Amino acid sequence: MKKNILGIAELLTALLLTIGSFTIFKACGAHEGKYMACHWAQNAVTLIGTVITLLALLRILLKNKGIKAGLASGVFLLAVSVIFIPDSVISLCMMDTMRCHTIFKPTVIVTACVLAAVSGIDSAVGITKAGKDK
Amino acid sequence: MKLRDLPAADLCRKPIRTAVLTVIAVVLSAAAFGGQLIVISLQRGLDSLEQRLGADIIVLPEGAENKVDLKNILLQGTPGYFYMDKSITDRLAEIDGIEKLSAQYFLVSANAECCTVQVQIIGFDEDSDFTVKPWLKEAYDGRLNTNEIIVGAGLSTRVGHTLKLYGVECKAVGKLEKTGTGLDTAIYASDETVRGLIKASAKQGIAVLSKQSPEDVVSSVYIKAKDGADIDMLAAKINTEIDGTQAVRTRSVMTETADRLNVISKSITTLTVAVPVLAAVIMFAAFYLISNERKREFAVLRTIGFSRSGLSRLVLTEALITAGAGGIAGVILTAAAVLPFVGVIEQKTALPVLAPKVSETAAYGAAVVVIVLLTGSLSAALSAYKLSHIDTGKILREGC
Repeated sequence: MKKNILGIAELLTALLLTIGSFTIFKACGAHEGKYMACHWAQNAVTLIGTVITLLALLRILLKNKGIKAGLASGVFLLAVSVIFIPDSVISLCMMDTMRCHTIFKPTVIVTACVLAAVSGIDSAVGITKAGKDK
Repeated sequence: MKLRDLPAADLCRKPIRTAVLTVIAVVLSAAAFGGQLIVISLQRGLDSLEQRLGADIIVLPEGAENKVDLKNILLQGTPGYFYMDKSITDRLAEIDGIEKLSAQYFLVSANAECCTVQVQIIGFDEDSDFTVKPWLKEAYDGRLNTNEIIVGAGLSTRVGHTLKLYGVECKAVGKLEKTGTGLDTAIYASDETVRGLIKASAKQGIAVLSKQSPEDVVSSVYIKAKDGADIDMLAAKINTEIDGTQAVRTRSVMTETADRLNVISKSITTLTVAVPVLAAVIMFAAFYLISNERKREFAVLRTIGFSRSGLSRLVLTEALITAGAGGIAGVILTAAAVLPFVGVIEQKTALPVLAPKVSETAAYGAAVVVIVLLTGSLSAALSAYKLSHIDTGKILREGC
């Protein structure tokens, strides 16, 4: 448990990002049957969030320290990429007052930053430990 | 181990004690910084609204709902429209005490290009305008031509890009500065462009707008009174002399907003003071209790040659490390929790919110960290004094 504390933190944050992106902090809903630009940003975050969740799960289950460090590095890189999805890589709606700007974008960025920080530390610690073991 | 590494080693040796002290510092700095950040953002929003309006009086068509609509446009950016006869502008110009007046025409778009939301379109007279152009961040050269628009800071449209309104491609030639008000999400255009949009709307089957062209009606008239003029008297005069209108002092819109802001600010300020004071008291108590717990440790240090000032330095350094780490973490966490969500605060409070500039925010953050460091140092100073004046022999003999 103590050894996997960072891995568990990564898994929980990744789950929050994935499930939250289409529930509690989802982007603007469909209007008159049409989805707006932010819907595709939401889908991208959910997809990458799912991949991160699987990587974080493998990071906990596998025993090899080198593989753990590699998976943590993968989580870190993907978390950093999620930061840029809303509004930079995929445009959001035109008004700052819309849900995708006020709730979806800031929550995704803050959650992804937390995930990047945790996985960054995990990755650095893991790489250092794996190097010492050799 | 070197002596200078002793404080850090002490902190690592007792992780729970260190974590508790750090968390107290985090709570102290988060409450002080977060509360201050929200109050300052609300105050800046109100100041910005006052400056943004730029007029002493706004003349609207008679009817309480029009005043509510205007407030919704100004504070929440909810699109709205209301009209009165354009001849009112000429009649207003004849009244003494008015230095400048400028009429505006409100129109609401059916659908903007990228998303199915309505956008407030404001037609304004470039010659008489004194409320829109002063806020231009990215200036355009010359005048607004047909189908050229100026966009508020809250719209993602960039200068040079186009926006489709009622099927008409409108080119953004200027962008306004962010004001934290509802006007940030509005689009500004010349009367000519507005007329074109109304024609386009008629083609799309929204014929009701064609009866209210900017040639015949206006939505509001912004008035700047002459220096020294009694603004209340001027508003009363307009209300008496011109039927079918209501002259609203911009300050009255501001006063109601300011009253609501005061209530919210007072609650936040109370919390901002109460929580850090409570955290500081807990910090004092924690250091006092820790000093009792560490008597034997310090007695041993004294017997191996530590001076009183050396012991005080050790306690103070430990306090500075925990308070500094907690203070910085509290400021960073609060900034991450508050600044990205300014838009939500604006919507939930229905008040204009304008976050401070990065440099100002950093200065507030630094001030809070200094306060937390001082509180930590003062708390530790008491404990340091107590520990440096212990009776070493008695403690080692009796164990207390």
